[in-house]
Formats: sequence, structure tokens, C-alpha cells
Amino acid sequence: MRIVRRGITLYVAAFALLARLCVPVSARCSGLEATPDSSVSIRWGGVYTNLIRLDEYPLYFPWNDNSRSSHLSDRVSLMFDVRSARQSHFFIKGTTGLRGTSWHDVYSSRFFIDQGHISATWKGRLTGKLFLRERVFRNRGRLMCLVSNDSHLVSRRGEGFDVAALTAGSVFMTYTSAVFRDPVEQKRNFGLPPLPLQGIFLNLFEGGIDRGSWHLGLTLVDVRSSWTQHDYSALYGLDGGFSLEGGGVNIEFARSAYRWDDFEGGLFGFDPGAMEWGSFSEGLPSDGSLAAEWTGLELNAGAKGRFGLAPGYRYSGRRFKDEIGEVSSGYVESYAELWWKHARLAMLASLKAADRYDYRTNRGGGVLSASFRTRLRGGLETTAKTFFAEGYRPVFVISTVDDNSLTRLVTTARLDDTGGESWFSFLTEACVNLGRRWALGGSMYLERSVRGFYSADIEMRGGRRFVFRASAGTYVPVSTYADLTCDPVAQTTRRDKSISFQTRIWLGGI
Amino acid sequence: MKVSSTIRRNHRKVRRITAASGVLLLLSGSVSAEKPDRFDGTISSARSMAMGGAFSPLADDITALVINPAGLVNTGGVVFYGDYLETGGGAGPWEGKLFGGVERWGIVFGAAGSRKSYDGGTAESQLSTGFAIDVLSGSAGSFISVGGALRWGRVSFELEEGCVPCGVSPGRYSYDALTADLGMMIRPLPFISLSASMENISETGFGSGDYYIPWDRTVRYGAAWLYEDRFTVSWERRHEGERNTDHFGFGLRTAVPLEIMAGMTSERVYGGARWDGNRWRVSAVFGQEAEDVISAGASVEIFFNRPARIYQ
Repeated sequence: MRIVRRGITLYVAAFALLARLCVPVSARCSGLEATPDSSVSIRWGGVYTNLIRLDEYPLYFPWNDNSRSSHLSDRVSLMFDVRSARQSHFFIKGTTGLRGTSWHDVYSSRFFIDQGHISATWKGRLTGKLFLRERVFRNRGRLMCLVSNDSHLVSRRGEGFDVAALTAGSVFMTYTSAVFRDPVEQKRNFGLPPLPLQGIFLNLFEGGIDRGSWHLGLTLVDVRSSWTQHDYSALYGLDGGFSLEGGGVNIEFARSAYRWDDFEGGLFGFDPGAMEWGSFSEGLPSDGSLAAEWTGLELNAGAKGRFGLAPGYRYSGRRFKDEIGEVSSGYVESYAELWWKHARLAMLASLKAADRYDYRTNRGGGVLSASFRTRLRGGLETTAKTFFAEGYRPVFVISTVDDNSLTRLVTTARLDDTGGESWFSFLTEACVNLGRRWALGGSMYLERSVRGFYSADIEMRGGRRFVFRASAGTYVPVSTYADLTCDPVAQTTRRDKSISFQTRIWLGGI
Repeated sequence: MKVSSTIRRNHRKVRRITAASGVLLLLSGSVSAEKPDRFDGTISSARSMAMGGAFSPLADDITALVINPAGLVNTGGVVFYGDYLETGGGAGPWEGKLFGGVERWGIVFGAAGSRKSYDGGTAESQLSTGFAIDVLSGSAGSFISVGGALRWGRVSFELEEGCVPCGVSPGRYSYDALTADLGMMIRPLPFISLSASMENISETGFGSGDYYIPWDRTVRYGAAWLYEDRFTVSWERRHEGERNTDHFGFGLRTAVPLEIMAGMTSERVYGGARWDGNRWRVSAVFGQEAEDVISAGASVEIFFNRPARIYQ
């Protein structure tokens, strides 16, 4: 097993930051009693969460006597937060383990540090941060998310340090070093990282210049694992943009491979000879990705409303490693979206045409989607969408959202043309506030004309610090709405019949 | 009770015909929804379907006539209603209904005609008439109402091949039925509605008029909660023969006069939307009849001298 000994670096950085934070704070704390407008704020808080859940089990549901079908868990989280006027910040959160879950010994430690960081800023230009079990990546609003906590290799919460500098001339540089350990391992030993560190190590450098009318950037990442020889990844990216015709053009390019010396063909790896009209992507590297988009191109036609156009291009090669970011490998897409907004009314119509090809499935073709969105009196929003994809049957979706102080209602109907009898899906979720304390909610879902699901819940709020919620149903409607309205391919819902009771109590001021 | 041999023979004959027609219908294999092997007095209106059948305690439109006649008091003035429902995108049966209602002397009268048509020439027609009256009415919207309705129905069907073992020759047959419905609605508070209704069916049977099946009964009872004139939760239990089914429904009105409805029974989902103008209402609804079989339909209501007391 490969062991990387770099924990000492983390500890040195931690002591430096602690020293930076603690000395002035203790000096000001004495002044805290003398002057009410203290420059240091100290806050603490806590949350107690209790969950009782009964899952479907034959014969006994809902009052199961089988331990595998009923779950009791409760935990206490305590948080402590110190913030100084000079933007030093210390935050720590400790949590008890869950009780009643015997499936793993991860919670054998009754209390562990669940999250924490200590950060300091110098003259507003240099920031240092030491973090423990946090998600830390930035995206800076780029077209491609090259490093993400929602990726395969760095999906967990990590520990490490982060330095960011902003110099004169709008030049910025950031460096992040983190280790992503096994979650079970993280929660042992009081939540502190034991030495030597083991896990997936990440080095991320981002730098560039960001002016008002243009910007340039560079991203360098590598990921190495001490557990296996296979989890290696190296990536570099270049991004740039400039203002054009009142809008902005952004172009981003990245390449990814197992190791730094795996990159071939120079910095970009382009093959200009293979680039022809209609097959531009043939000249791009198979380990690269390219995204370009022109936004903000608008025409104000007075009483006729406003028109806009947003063309774009996306490419991701077959060998692009998509394990540390949110860029899928092996597809190419060029698209243009035309939109129109009414001059006075809240009404927006758009038409998007795209030409896609997926190298993994070797399927592709044109996609045409149209949408119409309007907001009516009282805040009722209605959205209608259609998808026409080559190789797939058409989809039509209509959705309404009504949200006010008394009720909230979301209704979606979707028709999937299957060639024979169509699939019809229907989701409605409603919530009613019964006075200031109680809220009643429920949902019903018909999936593809075949399966029906329901859920119901009641929530009681006792002031700002207490919430009790009881819910029951045959599914958990968390992502169902997004699946129905955004996904050209209908998804399948998992049957999850259960009854649950949840209590939360907040303490302190966080 | 002594039953004459003629009645017994007629009874057996009707059973043979219905059994033979059922076999033929199954063999045809082109119908998604069940065809009636006897008179099916149950009528589903558009709103009732969208609320998952939990309509008896609401009964707030003219179609209450065939579900809970006491709910006719929730209409008023002059109202006309028509709807059309279709199953399986046209592959299954369709049905159309027309209703009319008028209020005179404090009594609301209603009349309706409907036809449900299946593949193979089977059809079920109904004519209904009824009334409802407030027997007690409070100042804040509470009331007790009762109502009654009479319905005449006819099921006609085609036997193309007949059934030699059964002794039934090919041809077109029909039999009649009569129902006497009673209903009661209680609103002790303006936001609570309780209901009970009975549908009593007597079939006169095929051919001669001396054959009859003793009264068959469907009982509905339920409760609804009407919150702030915006949100409605409704529950109905239906007792048919030895079978009980629970129906749940809710409706929520948005600031624009659009009401979204949804319901469920036996884990089948129903839903729809209704636009409520001053003089008219239109609905678009759907219901899951069976796995992979959806009914959909639309309705229109037109009002004249619509009173303000109408709830929703």
C-alpha cells in the first residue's frame, strides 16, 4: 500500500492559521466586555435530530417487529463559530453518532468532529483556510465544471488547506490541497485525521486574470490515491472570454489523462488537418473537452418584446477522464437557443435546436425542444415543454407552480409518445399552511400510466426552534419533479413504502 | 319466499346470455376497460374522476344528481353540463353525458342523460331525474340537505354468434334497470362536509318483464374538509356488494380561477384541472382505469343566474 506522508504540512498550516486567529481574538475579547460594538462575534448552536422510520415489511407494516424494517436514529450536533472584523473565521461542528444502526461500527465513537475550518484574510487579498470534512470547490460560473464534489473520485468531504490570492490587476491564484478519506475512517479517532494520511489526494491550482471586458484562466489538477494504483488523474484547463455585441463569448478547453506525461500532441493536441466543415470535432483531441457559448446576444424590438440568441458548442472526447468533474466523456453537441420575451407580460418562449452525438452509444441526431413559460395573476407559473429527439419518441410536458403564503402547489403532466399507446405521467404536490404552526402536505404520482404512488406529511413548527414532521407514503418525491420536467427519457421511481417521524430542535444562535 | 319456475327459467336465461356475452367480449380482446356483465349504475363525472371518486361529500356540481342527489343544493339558478370521457386513447369505451338543473320554490331539480359505448355494440344508457332540498340551513353556510333521484338504465349488446350450449341465438339483446337513489349531506360547519348516499338498483332483466333481481345496493359515505375556500380534502368509502373501496381526493384553487385536482383509490392515480369562470367552468381530467390504461375527458358547465352560495 502506498502511504503519502504529507499530514505534517497540514498541521503546520493549521498552527499558523490558529496563531493568526487566536492572538488578536484574545486581545479583543477583553475589550468585548467594555465596548458593546465588539469586532469579534462568538456564536454557538446545536441541533437535535430524531428519526423513527418504519419500512414496509409483509404482515407487520406499519408496526413492524422486524428490526431490519424499523429504524431509530437520533443525533446531536453542536456548532461553535468565531468571526473577527478582520475576517478571521473559526467554525467547528461536532456530532454524536447515530443510535440504533447496528449495520456498521462507524458510529462506535460517540462524538466526533463532523466539520470545521479556520480561515484568515490579509488585507482582503490573501486568504488561507484549513478545513476538515468540507466541500470546498469553486466553479466561478464556468461552462464546464472540471472539479466537483459530485464526481466519482472526490465526491466525499475532504480535509486540507486552501490559499487564495487576489493581486493588483485582477490577477487571482488559488491552490487547494485536500485528502478524501474513507468516511468510516474519517469518523473514527474523534474525527481527526490520523497520520500518515491515506486516501485520495488532490492538488488543484487555479489562476488567471479577470478584467471587466475579458478574462483568462488556467486550471491544473492532479489526483492520486494511496489505496490503488488506478485512481490517478491529471487535468489541465484553459479558459477565456471577452465581450462582444453587448454579450459575452466564453471558450473553455481542458484535457485529462492518467498522468501528466500521457498528454500528446502539444498543449492543445489539435489536428487542424482533420477539421472540416461539419466534422470540426474530428480534429479535437480524444482526451480533451471544449465548450464555447455566446450569451447576451439580444435585440430589443420595443412593443414586440425582446429576442435573444445563444449559440454554443460542447465537445468531450472518448478518452477524457470524467472522474473528478461533471463533464461526461464521449459526446459532441452544437446548439442554438432562440428566445422571445413579451414586452410587458411575464411570458417567455424559447426554441432550442441541437445536433448531438454520443460516442459511447454511437447514437446521435437532431434534438428540437420548445418551451413556453408564463406567470399569471397571483403568481401562477405555467411551463410547457416539448422534446423532439431523433431516434426517440416525442415528449410533451406541462407544469404549473402556484406558491403563496397559504398554499404551494406543483403539478406536472407528461406525455411520452411510445409509438403505440402513450405513457402518461402526472405528479401533483401540495402544501397548505394551517395557521402559523401547522402545515399539511401531500403528493400523488402516476408513473407512465402504470404505477401510482402517494405521500402525505404533516409538519408542526413550535416557534423557530422546534419542528416535528410525520410522513407516510409509497415513495419519496425528491427528484421526481426534475426527472419529469427536464429529462427527455422518463425515469423509474423506486417503491419506498414507509412511515416516518422526525423531530428537530435548534439551540443557540447559529 | 316462493319463486315461480318461470322466474327461475328467466333468471337462468339471463345468466347464460350475460355469461356468453362476457366470454365473447373477452375473446374479442380489444377492450381495455371492463364491459358490464350487468347494469353498472355507477357514473363518473369529470370532477368525480379527478378527485379519485371521493366526490360524494363534495357533490358541488350538477353531476351530484347521480352520485349524491343531496348535493344538488350546491348548484342553483339554471345550469347545463356536458362531458365526454374516453378510455385508452379511443381503444376502450367512451361515454358522454348531459345534465341540466334548475332551482324553483327552494328545491333544486336536475335531469340527465348519458350513454356509455363499448366495442362490439355494447352500450349502456341512462336517464335520470332528481331533486334536493335544504331541510335546515344556518346563517354561516352550514346546512343539512336531502335529495333523491330515479334512474332508468338500459344495457344493450350484440351477440353475433350466440351460444349453442347456452341455448341463446345470435341477435341484439337488451335489459333494463331502475335505480332509486337517496342522499344526505350535512355541513355542521362551513368547512366540514359529511355525506351518505345509497344507490338501489333493480334490474328488470332480459325479455319478459316478470323477471327481476332483488335490489342491489351501493352505499357511499364520506367526509370532506374545505379550507379557506382554497383547499379541499375529501374521503369517500364505497360499499358495493361485499367490496369496500376507499377514495381520496384533494383540490387546490390558485389565485387565477384554476383548480388542480388529484385523487387516488387502490393506488391508482387520478387528476385534472378545472377553470372556473363566472358563467362557465371547463375541466380536463384523467383517471387510471387499469395498469397502462388511462381514461381522459373534458367537461363544460354553463350557468345562468348563478347564486353566490355555490361553493367552488
